Amino acid sequence: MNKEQFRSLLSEKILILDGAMGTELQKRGFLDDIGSPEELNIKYPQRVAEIHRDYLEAGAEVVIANTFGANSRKLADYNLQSKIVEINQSGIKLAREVASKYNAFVAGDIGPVGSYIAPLGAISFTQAYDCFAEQVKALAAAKPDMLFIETMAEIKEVRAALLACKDNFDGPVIVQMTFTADGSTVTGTDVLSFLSIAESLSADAVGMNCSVGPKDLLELGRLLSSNTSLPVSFKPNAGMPKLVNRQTVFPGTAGEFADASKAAYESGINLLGGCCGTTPEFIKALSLELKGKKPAARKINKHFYISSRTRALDLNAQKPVIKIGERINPTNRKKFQEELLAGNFSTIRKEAQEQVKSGAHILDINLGLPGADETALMEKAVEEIQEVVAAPLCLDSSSAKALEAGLKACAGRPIINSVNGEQKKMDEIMPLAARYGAALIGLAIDDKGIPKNAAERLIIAERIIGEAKKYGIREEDIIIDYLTLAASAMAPQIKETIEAIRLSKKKWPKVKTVLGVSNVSFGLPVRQVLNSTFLKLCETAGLDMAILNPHEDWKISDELAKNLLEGNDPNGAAYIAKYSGAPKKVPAPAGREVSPQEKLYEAIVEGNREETPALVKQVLSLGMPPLAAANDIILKGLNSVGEKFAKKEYFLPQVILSAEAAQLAFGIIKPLLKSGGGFSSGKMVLATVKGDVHDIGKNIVAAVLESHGWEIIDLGKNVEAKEIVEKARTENAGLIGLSALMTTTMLEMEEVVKARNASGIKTKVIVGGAPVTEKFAKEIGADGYAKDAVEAAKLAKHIIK
Amino acid sequence: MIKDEIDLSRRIISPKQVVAYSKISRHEPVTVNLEPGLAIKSIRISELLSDCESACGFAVTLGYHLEEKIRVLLAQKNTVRALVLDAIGSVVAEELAELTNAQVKEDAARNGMVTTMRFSPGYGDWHLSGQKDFLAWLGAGQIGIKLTDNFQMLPEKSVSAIIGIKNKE
Repeated sequence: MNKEQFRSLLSEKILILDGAMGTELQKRGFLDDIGSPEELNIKYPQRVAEIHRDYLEAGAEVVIANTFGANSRKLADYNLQSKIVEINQSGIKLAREVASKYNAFVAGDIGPVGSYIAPLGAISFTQAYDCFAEQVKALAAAKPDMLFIETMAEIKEVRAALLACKDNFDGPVIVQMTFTADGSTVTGTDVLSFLSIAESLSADAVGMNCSVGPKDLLELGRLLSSNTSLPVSFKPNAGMPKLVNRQTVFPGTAGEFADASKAAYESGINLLGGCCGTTPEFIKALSLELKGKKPAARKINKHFYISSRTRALDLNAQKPVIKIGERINPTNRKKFQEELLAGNFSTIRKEAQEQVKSGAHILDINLGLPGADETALMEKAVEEIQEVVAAPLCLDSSSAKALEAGLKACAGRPIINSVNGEQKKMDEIMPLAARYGAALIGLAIDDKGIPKNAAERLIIAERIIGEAKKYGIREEDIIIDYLTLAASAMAPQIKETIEAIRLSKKKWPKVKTVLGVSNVSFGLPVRQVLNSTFLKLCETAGLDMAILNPHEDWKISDELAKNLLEGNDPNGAAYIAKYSGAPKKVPAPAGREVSPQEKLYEAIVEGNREETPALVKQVLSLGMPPLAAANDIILKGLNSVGEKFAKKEYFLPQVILSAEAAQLAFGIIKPLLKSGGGFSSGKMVLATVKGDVHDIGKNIVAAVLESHGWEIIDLGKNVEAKEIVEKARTENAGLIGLSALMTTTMLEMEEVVKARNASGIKTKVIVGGAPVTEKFAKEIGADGYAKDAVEAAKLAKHIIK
Repeated sequence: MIKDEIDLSRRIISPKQVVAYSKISRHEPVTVNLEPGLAIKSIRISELLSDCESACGFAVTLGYHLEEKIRVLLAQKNTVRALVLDAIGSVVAEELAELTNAQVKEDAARNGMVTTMRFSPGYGDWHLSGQKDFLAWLGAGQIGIKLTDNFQMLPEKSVSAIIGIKNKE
């Protein structure tokens, strides 16, 4: 079945899907002698076939194959990754054999990969994509009628899965997320944000499955069906599962399920089935009620969504103008630039939060900066920003590579800023917008420059809109920027920009318009007055969005400014006459001059990682010898932190922040010391002992000791005694540091001491961890015990001297 | 900063609980037998459950995603954020255990019963190795809790405990 056939079939009749596979397998005891449910496809296919048959008998018109967890990452848990192709294809084949007797459809099933994508989890977007693509290829070769992407909880994973399907399967793809009762997934994605992603990546149907019971899911199903013209699927659980006395109990009944399904059908939902806990009995009740019906008519709200992980922004509903914050842009901001080059994203995070607080709906991200790896910066910045704010993003770059990195990293549907009328640009950027489903800003400019008048700018816009159509980018996905010129130099041009907006909205009502506003006041006094007045004029002409500084006052409307913008104030004489005398910002009162040395000391004590590197450089440039800076400022600062910790003025997070600031400082100082005398406390091998997988305490010790000049060789957790001692020998380490968090594993510390003794190396062993005591340390023959990271630093220094 | 991490943790914590009620089939000074087939060897447990006819065991976990994130942060040398997330996890796990405890207490009260304090493997003379049989008895594997060879629960942010249920004095 191809996509068109699917669409037209579902416009004529609804489809009854099957019910649960997993809980049914479990109930029948089919999983008792097997690890992975998917392994049944190759080991005991008749068991899976039996369940398919029962659902078909009950009236299902689509059976979903037993391939939910048949991706290489999940199969690896059972050491079955090498059988991925076989398991997927057998799954489809055995379903087909049964379904063909009932003239029913067969769907391939795709579930989550098991790890979240960064920044929530540990795998990259590309890793997730590759994992999905591998499964989709295996499924596609067995020719299922359609694919279900199900039970998704994370929006980036949805994007990866949809792209993998789009690239490797020609048939229809249905994508379903799993929502909690509050209407969002566990990772915070709401129904409409999900919809914006699914639609932009051309899913053929959207829906929801699992998690809450039929009645609660119904509300969410209605929300979905009233906001999309795509087919909608609905697969609730048989109520919320409870685990009581080792049994999963689903409290819902077939009757309740059928009632909710009927109500869902009435709201226009056209693919109906069941998830966990539903049985052939449930599907029978559903089928008796609804099978063969024509889909109910829907009332659909027209919308234009862009989105983040947790918020969908409907540009059609948002009035007045939508503000795109322009402040994440290092142009002409030296400190910001230095930070970015050093891989420091603190200003970005701060700007993101503050702009949203000042009313920005969307954040523009521009990281064009000489000497920087824009692609890497874009990826990281998108992740950092999306961790702190929910606003959708506008990825602003002239590099297609950087844009693609940002598109992959983005959780949600972003805007691309931008293409223009140049063929080369359109060839490069439009495929990206189409592939990742982004909205697209098109500048009304081309290789010949900015056209003088409105009509000519519309010609370029027309070219962009026409070209975009070739890639399947619709008019409603396009935002045209008719360009703001400086009123001081080109006053007559202002009228043309406003006129272009007006004409454009008339000609293509669906196409949005945007302007970078601030440029209008370039070279004129009191820019805010002009900027805001200009925005008001553009809004009247129909402007949809503006790229601006959200911290400015956007309520001002000034007669003189308006006069100037409308071309009635040649050279802005009247405007300048009134405003040129306006006071500039008052400089901050000067306090006592604090020396850079003092500032650096304070920065270390306060754990100010942002300021520290610059202060170190400043101190060194003033002629302080590096070794003196290390000993007299940084280590002194750390000692003060240690004292504060002992006095309970400071707690662990502050100690670590200071340690990290000190590490940054040493990062600058150390290379300078190599030539002129060493500064290193020595090498230390650090590990959590065998059998113990606690990690965090040991990492804190590592951070603090590194800040005291130790070179740490961190072997991680669950490390064999032999390996620790061997490493100490080959690295010629002065110290071994051991961590254990459990009474059962701390005994392993003794093994390390024994191994050390047996090997004949002189390395000292120090130990620590929740159950470890001074007494225990002595008993096992360790050379020292420290109760926390600060003590460990003192102890290490003491033992080695 | 802590607020940011709390926001993040909301997205990556997936709390789950498993609860099992059972009659106490046999009661000896050092061993308590629970149906079906769990024997807890501990004088403290035996004392705790001495007046009880039944007991409730539970396990709760925050899932793997939180710990995966902590690992990533540690690998990136972002120790402070890892520490804060870890601490949030500890607090939430304890709260979740509290909540489950309260639910058990409420259930018992509805039947006119009262509950004892809760007790976890590894405390007192209930050796940590008792965790293995206890979790198997609970069916904690169903909510994804595994046990290492050294009886550490994975995910780390998991809590298991037993509560006695008895008649009002």
